[in-house]
Amino acid sequence: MEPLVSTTRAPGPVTAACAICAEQISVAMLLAFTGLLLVEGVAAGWLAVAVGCGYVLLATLVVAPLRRSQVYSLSDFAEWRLQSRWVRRMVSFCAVWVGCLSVLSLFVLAGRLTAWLFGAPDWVGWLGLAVIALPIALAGALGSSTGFQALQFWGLLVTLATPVVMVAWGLPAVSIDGGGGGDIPVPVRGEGTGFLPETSVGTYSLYLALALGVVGFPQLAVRCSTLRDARRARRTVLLVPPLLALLVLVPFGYTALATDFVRDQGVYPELLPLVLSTHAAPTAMGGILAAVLGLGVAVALVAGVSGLLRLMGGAIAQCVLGGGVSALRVGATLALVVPLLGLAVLPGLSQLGLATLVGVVFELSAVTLAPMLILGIWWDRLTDVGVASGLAVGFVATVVSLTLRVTAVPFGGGGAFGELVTQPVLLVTPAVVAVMMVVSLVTARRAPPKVHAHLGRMHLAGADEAPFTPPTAHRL
Amino acid sequence: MSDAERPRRVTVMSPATRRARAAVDARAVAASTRGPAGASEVEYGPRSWSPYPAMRRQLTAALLPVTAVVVVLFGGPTLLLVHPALVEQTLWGAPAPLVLAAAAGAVLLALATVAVRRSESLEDGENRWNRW
Repeated sequence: MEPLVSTTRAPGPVTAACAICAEQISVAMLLAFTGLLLVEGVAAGWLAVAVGCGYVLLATLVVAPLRRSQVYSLSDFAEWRLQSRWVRRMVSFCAVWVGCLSVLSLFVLAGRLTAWLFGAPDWVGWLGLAVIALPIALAGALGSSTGFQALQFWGLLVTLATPVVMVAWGLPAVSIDGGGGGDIPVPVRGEGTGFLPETSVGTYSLYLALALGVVGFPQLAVRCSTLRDARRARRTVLLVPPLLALLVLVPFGYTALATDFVRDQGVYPELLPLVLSTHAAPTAMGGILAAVLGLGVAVALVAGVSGLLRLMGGAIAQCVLGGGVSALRVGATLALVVPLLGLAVLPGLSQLGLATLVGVVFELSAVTLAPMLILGIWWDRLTDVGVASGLAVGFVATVVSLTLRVTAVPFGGGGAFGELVTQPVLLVTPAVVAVMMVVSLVTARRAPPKVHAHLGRMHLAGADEAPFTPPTAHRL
Repeated sequence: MSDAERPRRVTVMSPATRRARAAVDARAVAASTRGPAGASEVEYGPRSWSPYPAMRRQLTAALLPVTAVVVVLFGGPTLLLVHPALVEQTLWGAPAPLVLAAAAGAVLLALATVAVRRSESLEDGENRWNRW
């Protein structure tokens, strides 16, 4: 059997933190954030603080017990903690959907990038990305090592920062003003992307989704399992917020490249960094900067999609296809087909804002995997039926919310209620936690028999600080 | 008189008393080395007992950063919603929301670092106790 491992030796905290940052903060998220900053203004910067809050929660509440549990994935955690094979399948189902939505956002970005660069239809970009990323995922090469993911983080940082730094160091920046630059196709600042909620309820919901979404991301458990011990895992996660701040500085740099924008419906906010790079420097240099940026984004897209496909392929292979490398390859192919089918069957998906798509990834993670993980670590009465009920409630609520957004059905007539329907985390997360707890109390007989032993392994210092040994076949 | 020559004190116990004491000692040893009933040594670790005191200590250490997360998560947007003009203002030459976000991030990180250090020192104490 071909071994597919995340890493062959325990990485250092900085390398692992860079890898976590690169895996969880995809290029789609970063460009969506840049577009939001450029269009909505610096108030959107608080979104990055919400993501940082998620990492603080991870470092203080989750990562050390998760490392001590010695599981390789959230599915493993659910099976080990609740002693239930079918809860493992449900957790894998949610994790695969989180991955599918992440891949979907990357496909949408690839389509828009292709359309802007070459004038080709969006589907050319989707297929091109699929054709390149799938063989890499099947080979288990890119995205399989911590070192490569860490390199991807620095590559993305350098690529995105290059136009900003070059303009700041002397290239003559073009002043893009609203009156004179009619040929510059970028949105007017202040008209909004429609992503940031208008009411306080919607705003709180969005920020809660971002913080809890980080806690529930399925990639983290895999990274944790490769670290030497719980202490190193905690310190590693604590290094992520500073790295995230470094990454987030770049989008703020782009806001300095232009003072005002001209409206053109044809350009999506996430492509603004490329547009600004083209226009912020003299003709030839602007083209070079845009080409460098486009190439960097394309590489990040391929690396991100191939890594996610491998992760999802592993989960599908373990839960449905019986494990093994062949099953992993089938699983990865299935994980690729689902987002492509979604884009083909539901044209509304490709018209959604990239920030909205990325937001759905955080939402699904926040209302399904995060409550399961936190309650599994800290509450001894959790049962498999309770977790299954909560996961079902969270998943259905997210699907309904996404459907309403895709079909653009006016629900609730706007206002706080309408925003809660389309941005439901503030309502759904407490509901999911309540459902998990109430159903667990009702089905107390189904509590796993060795729950004290499991809690002891997770929480007692030195009880399970075994040195890292790479798995022979990576269980995802 | 040396220790070897000193007469030893011998406690005379009936066989029933001896068996009862041995059973109590065995249960005490089992409780201190294998944890609660139902937990095997392999799964529970050889030097562990109830996880709940440790969980309480860890939660206490995490209380401050988690509270700060809640305050920052909901306080920042509330501030911007209540004072929309803040978006246009500058602090030390930088946009006010940016400065506030950076300050909030720095405070959060500092609190989280303190909490992690506190957790580590608690774990060190538990480790020393377990080794002893």
